[in-house]
Amino acid sequence: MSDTAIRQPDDTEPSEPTNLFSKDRLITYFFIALGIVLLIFGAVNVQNWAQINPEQVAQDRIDKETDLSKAEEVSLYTRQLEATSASKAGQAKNAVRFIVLGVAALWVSQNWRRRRQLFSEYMLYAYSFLLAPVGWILYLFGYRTHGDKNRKVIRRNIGIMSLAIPAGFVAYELVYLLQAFVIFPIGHNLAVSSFVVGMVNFFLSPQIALLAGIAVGGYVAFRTKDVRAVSVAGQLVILAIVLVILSWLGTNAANGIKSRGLSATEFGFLDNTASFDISEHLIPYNRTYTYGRAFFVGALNTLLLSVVGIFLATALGLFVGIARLSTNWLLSTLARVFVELMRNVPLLVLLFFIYAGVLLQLPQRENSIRLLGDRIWLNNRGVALPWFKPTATFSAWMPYLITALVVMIVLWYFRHRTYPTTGRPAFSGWYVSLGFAAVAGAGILAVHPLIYQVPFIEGFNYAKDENQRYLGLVMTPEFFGALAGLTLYTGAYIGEVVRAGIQAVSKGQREAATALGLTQSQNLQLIILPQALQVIIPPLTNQYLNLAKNSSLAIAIGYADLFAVATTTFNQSGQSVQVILMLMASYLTLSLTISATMNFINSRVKIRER
Amino acid sequence: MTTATDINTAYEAPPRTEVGVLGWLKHHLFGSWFDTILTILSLGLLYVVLVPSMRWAVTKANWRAITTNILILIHGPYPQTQNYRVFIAIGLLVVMGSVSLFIYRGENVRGRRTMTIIWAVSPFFIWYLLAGFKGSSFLPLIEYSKWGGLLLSFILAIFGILASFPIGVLLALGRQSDMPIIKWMSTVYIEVVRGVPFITVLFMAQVMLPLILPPDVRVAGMFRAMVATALFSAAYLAENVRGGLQAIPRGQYEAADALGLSTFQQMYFIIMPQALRTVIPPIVGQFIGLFKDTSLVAIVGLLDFLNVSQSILSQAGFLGAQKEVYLFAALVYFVFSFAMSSASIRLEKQLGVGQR
Repeated sequence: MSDTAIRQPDDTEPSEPTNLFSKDRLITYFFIALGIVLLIFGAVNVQNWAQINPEQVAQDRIDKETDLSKAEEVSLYTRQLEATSASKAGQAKNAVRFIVLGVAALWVSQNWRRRRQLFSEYMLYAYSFLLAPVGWILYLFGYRTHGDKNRKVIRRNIGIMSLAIPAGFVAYELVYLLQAFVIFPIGHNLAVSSFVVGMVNFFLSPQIALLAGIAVGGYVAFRTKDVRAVSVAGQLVILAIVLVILSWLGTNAANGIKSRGLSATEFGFLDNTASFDISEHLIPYNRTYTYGRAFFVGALNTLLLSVVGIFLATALGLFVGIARLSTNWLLSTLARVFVELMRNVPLLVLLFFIYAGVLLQLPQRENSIRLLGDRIWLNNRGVALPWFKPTATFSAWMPYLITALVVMIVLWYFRHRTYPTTGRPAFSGWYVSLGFAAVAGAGILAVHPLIYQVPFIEGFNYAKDENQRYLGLVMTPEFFGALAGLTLYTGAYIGEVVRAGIQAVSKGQREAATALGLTQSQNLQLIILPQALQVIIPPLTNQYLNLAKNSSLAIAIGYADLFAVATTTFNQSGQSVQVILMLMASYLTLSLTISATMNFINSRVKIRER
Repeated sequence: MTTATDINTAYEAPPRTEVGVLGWLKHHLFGSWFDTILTILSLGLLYVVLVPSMRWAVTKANWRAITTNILILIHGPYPQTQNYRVFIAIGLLVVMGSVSLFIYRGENVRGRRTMTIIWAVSPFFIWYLLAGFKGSSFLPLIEYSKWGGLLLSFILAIFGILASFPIGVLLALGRQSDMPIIKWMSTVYIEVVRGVPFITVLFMAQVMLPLILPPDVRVAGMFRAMVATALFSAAYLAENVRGGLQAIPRGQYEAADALGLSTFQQMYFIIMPQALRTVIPPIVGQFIGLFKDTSLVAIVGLLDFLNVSQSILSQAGFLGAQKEVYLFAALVYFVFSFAMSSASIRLEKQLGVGQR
């Protein structure tokens, strides 16, 4: 670190003189142009300053007025004189500022390349690029839109803030001199540990000097008590701090990655062969596929776990929430104990307990536990359930399903059409479901899209059908453990959400509905649920998001989800930055999708208020 | 004319089925046929779950897996010859805690102030007690990689809570602010961190921290986890605090403005005390979550309580003791989390949240 931060006297320029429009030169040109423009501004101000004659201005102003009394004349003359003098002084100050800034810009144009090896230096100059125009735009803006009184204040404050940049550079130059001629030699002569030198270098770095300059500018602006200027200054200071920290970290990361012979932006490794196995995959995969494919397989596994988990946890949560409100003491106590247990034990412990403590300690396959007359099989290689599997004619069922949906919608429409006139539905909601079931059922009878399979053990493994797929639904202990853990854990939280939602509907609502003669089911359907859902859905969304994020813990019990694949990819390829970026992007996408869906549902169930 | 005696005789004793044990049973367990079915089902569930587990716990379970390893569970690989330091620290905390119970209830202002100072100093004292000094024979240096077990879990949780609080409050204020740059940066930070799992943040801290710091700076795994915990927790805390801020009526801001308070005074004396008071329950809930989440550092290889518990399973003799070990781990987490939430409910009642 000490080598790069200390500027060596014999710094050699990089030899690329042929390209007049390289990035470096463009930056230099920019600073030269900026400097020249600023100097011209300065010159204009000097000229203005020289030309303004306050007495002449005041006299001209009086001459223009036709009917003025003597007293008014004197008063106007005095006011004009004062105003013009102030404006003249302002011009002078501005001229000085512009010239200082212009010189500073020219100085920067000639000096900035010397320290450009450091990424952070780029950031530093990028920052000054950003700040200088912003400062001057604000200056002009304030000049134009504010009245005379504010104009002065804003001009002064923004000017001071802009001055902070060159002040920072000057400070850095001083620091550099101190470093190069005092601290560094002393440090070496006294054989101080490299850590001390490093720390000194850090605290006397240009970034810190720049920060100090800007902080001074902000402080001055603060002292003037101009709210707008303080706000702008404060934001710029914080932005500067963040940029400085990021640039420092970024420089280190860039150096570190380079020294390891890696890259932070190259995504080509995704096309390399993954050469690791993923035990569960929804799409074809083996170790000869690429990292990119492996990542996708992991993402699908995460998605599967999250979606199934969300449905099961919602069902469990509904049950638990209602059970907690039950008048039956035993049931509500059981529900409460369950909720407290789940909420006070880490999910990871729960997962380990279910997986290593229960599922892996189940008997061997040949001694499987069988439930419901040999329909459900439990053993240490997984859980098997009877299941409906799509057959070859599954796609022929689709038209029936679509027709059924249409029928349902039409029936729904007719059912609701009588609401405005009679206030009641035309017929019971059961008929709507019945319509759907009739058409879909007819489809099932006609084309046999699904087949009911019961798993059983054949030899040493579960029996397979002609397509080499297990009969029924066979879940590995990893998937089943993760699913069970997530469902139990999130179900408890959802139970609390449901309970709170139902309790949030005031008792008066229920009583009023009963008084109006609504039946118990109408009461629930029309009064309680719509109001409870309003309260339930936002926290429910949070629980869904938690479940999706918590699914990453499945790595601990060996389920090959997104996170597991990503860590393996990282361990094999070493491409840390890209892997982390992809990982975060994937989870953010998942989270955003869930919250967007739930927001949509929320907007649908929201009771429109006047 | 009715006399007092008549009224008294008008009251008969209530039916035996409405009061006492029978009445309670009738109202709480067998109110209707549906209730009766629910009761029977619940009893059946209890029988199916409890009886075999009890039988297992008493007869089959090998609790020696826990009892012989209790020291390792408490402090992990911390050297056994030095472990009195851990117990001194624990004892100190217990003594301080019980003394505070008396002092903070009383009215002695000086005593309270002294206690507060002691609490403020104690973390540093305990830290040096545990870490020791290089070359010292009295308190030899203990490397951070040797800190483990429940000790490490607690250090991570306590540090996470202490460090995330100021960051979270600042982020919440930033998100509520009128200044576009600050609002934008806070919002992006909060939403990104809340959108990804804790384990990715931990993983990132383990992988990226060594990368983004200068090459000659080496950070122990414990500190990486601490940074990750604090940064992650801060985003969630910020959202909780923001909820509290939004619950403050505008009139409070306006009244503070009218009194001529500065922005800082307004926040410190008027807004924050009210906002934080309303969000005590979610914040405590979040801290419980943080304590539970410290178990995730086991995945990135730190020897926290959970990881140390797992290491028992590789000892000869306890190879099949998964149930015992994980049940004990669950029990320990449960006890501390439950204690925290009970304390929060008491605190809520004391401060009168939701009432004025």
